[in-house]
Amino acid sequence: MIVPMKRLTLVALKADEEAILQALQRTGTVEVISQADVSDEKTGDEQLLSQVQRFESAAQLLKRYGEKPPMGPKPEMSAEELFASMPESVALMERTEELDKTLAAARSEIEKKETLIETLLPWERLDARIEDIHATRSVRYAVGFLPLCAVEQVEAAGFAVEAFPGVRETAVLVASAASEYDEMQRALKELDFAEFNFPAMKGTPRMNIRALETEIASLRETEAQTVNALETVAKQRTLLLEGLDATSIERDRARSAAAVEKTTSAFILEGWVRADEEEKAQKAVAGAAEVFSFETREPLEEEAPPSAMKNKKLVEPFESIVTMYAYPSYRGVDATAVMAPFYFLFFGMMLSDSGYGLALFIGGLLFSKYMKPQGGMAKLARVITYGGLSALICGPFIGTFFGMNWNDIFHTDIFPLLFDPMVDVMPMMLLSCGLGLVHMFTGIVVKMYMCFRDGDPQSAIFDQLSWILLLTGLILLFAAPALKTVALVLTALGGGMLLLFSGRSKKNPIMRIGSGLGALYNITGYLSDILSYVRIFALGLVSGAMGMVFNLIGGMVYDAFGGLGIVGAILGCILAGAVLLVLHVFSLFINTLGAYAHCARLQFIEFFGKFYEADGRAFKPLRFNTRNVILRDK
Amino acid sequence: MPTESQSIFASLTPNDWGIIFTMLGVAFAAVLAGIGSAIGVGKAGQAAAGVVAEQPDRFGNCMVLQLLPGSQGIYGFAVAILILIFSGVLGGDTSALTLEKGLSYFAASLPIAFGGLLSALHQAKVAVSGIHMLAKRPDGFGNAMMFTLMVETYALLSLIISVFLVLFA
Repeated sequence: MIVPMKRLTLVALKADEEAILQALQRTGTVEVISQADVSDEKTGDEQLLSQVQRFESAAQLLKRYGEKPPMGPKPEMSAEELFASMPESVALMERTEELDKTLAAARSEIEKKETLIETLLPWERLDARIEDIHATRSVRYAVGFLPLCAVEQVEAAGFAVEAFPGVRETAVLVASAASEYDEMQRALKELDFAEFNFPAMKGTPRMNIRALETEIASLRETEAQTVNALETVAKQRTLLLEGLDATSIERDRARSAAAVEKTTSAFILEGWVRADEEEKAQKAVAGAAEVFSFETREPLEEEAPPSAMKNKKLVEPFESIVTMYAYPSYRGVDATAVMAPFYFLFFGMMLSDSGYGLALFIGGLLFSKYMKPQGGMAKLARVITYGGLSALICGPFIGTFFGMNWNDIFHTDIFPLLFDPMVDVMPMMLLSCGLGLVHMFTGIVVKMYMCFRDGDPQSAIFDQLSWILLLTGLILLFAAPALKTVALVLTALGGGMLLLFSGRSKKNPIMRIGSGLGALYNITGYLSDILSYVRIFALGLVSGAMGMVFNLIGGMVYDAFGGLGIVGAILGCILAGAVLLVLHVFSLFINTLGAYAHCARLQFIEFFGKFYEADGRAFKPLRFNTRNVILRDK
Repeated sequence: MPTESQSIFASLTPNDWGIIFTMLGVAFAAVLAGIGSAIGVGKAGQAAAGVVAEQPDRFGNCMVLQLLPGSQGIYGFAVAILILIFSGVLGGDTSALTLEKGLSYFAASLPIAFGGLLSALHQAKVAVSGIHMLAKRPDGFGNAMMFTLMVETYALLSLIISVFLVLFA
């Protein structure tokens, strides 16, 4: 069901604001409605926002340096413990950032120096000191690169050349008399001379290269030390994640605080609170402040409260399926409880293998117990667990056990108890469509309920019940010729109601019949909806066929070792077992995915299409929202 | 020498022709639907890798979307196996495979072969778009999955007709 909401107006002293918000966040009962245009104003949470980001990037960074955390549930702690570790985690975050900066600086320095060495390398054998190569009164130098074959031509022109041949070009130091400088320049230009400027440094190139190499070595040392330090820090990475969660909690509260209207000495908090948690919220406020006014009222007609769903523990996991489609409208209905049995049944029929069902069931239970998933993941895990149970039950009726025929296992001929989808194709298809019809009728009945509830019995009878009558009549007409009169009466009644009353708001009789005909045309939609349920049969067939084929392959592997006596038998068993394990895990994965998705589709399109009002939004109270730790109640 | 090849065909009995067409059907069902799924899953995988590169925590959702165009290949495979079993090829007894039977099995493979091939290709386009949507809107997984599943319906319908044709061939 959808939990009734109340509109809360809380007025209290500004001095108590932080304490009250903290207390409310702890209970997680109130969604604050923003009064200020938060995006425009300075929200005051910018520092927290950047801290959240810094925690995030630090944690991301350390991921590279630490070992992968072992599989297991997230750490559990109380809120106090989480907040107590804050100073420590901030320090760790700052240390990580510092180390990262050091590392980046060292690396860029190394890169710079390596580039420098590379530029100097062609001149390594030049014995002159770099600072000495400059024009004197009588001598001019040109430093640069020439094509490999051009050196001789320069020499032939009568200039002194010191050449250091490289792979692609030759590094040259050309000297000329000051008076011949222009001539030299011209000659060099013709030979594609590329001038080179030594970086500002002293000593021979070789000396410089050696010095740079030493510096790089020491930088590398720093780099290695920093990486080591990061690796040490990474061991405490969970602390960063805790800090991230704690900061996120503070940021959320700061956002809510920014959304609250303030006077000089008081603040007014407008929000939504679940009717069943009103008292809890009030108590929390009373515990945090002495002077306050806590008033609630029913939501007004024009207000759109958020939707929160409350269901029995058994069907609660299926809320995750419903919310995957959309949140129900606050004034609509929560379809979870009605949908759950159908989802359960269809999932089992689509998977239709007891072995796979057993694997999912046990796997799901173990996952829930040992990994302690939270929130949506926990619900999904339980949906899958239920699905496994359903497949386990459906197996003997319409399916197999790990692709094996039940009769081969028990040496009987009574299985499958209902139909073998590969032999009794028509009955299996009819069963699928029949269940689909029940599913759709349930949807129509829910819509009728909604119409009655909203004081519109005419719609309930003429627009909804009429379809049930018409479809039942039509089906009886074909399926049970003995009941022909009943069938005809039902068909006529349903069809007549649709024809005559669909356009009951229209005065003009021709227009009215026209919209009646339009409504009747919808029968095509119902037919295609019914046919859509054939997918139950199809997916069941595929999972059965896949299991069977994989067993055949396993058998072939075993048979391949048939002639080798006892050793062959053992080898065959091991190999066939390994092959079977891999193949069945694959099949289980694919078929579970198919069952999960197609079941959801049947709910969303064929079922929800009949009645569901999906324009709700989720109730998002201010609460302790953690991603990396599980918060324990005190 | 055309006469030689003519004589090869002339020497085939109707039973041989039946086996040939049955085998062709098996190949068609498995290969065409498989090609569709391979291309589809491949394209969706590329898109998924692009998104996961930026947002590693989307991996699970992206992978589910990537896998959706993969089902056609499995349907084709299932039909291929059904033909192998029901025609007796897998059991080793193919004596009852007349030309007529063989052609029927061949026809049975066509719906899933072509329905699977084309629906996988188009489903992949939706899956790719869905994965891109996921990059922008993390809570859009349910919607993206539904859009992609809409295409799947037609692969399933092809599968059902193929299965019918195999069972009643």
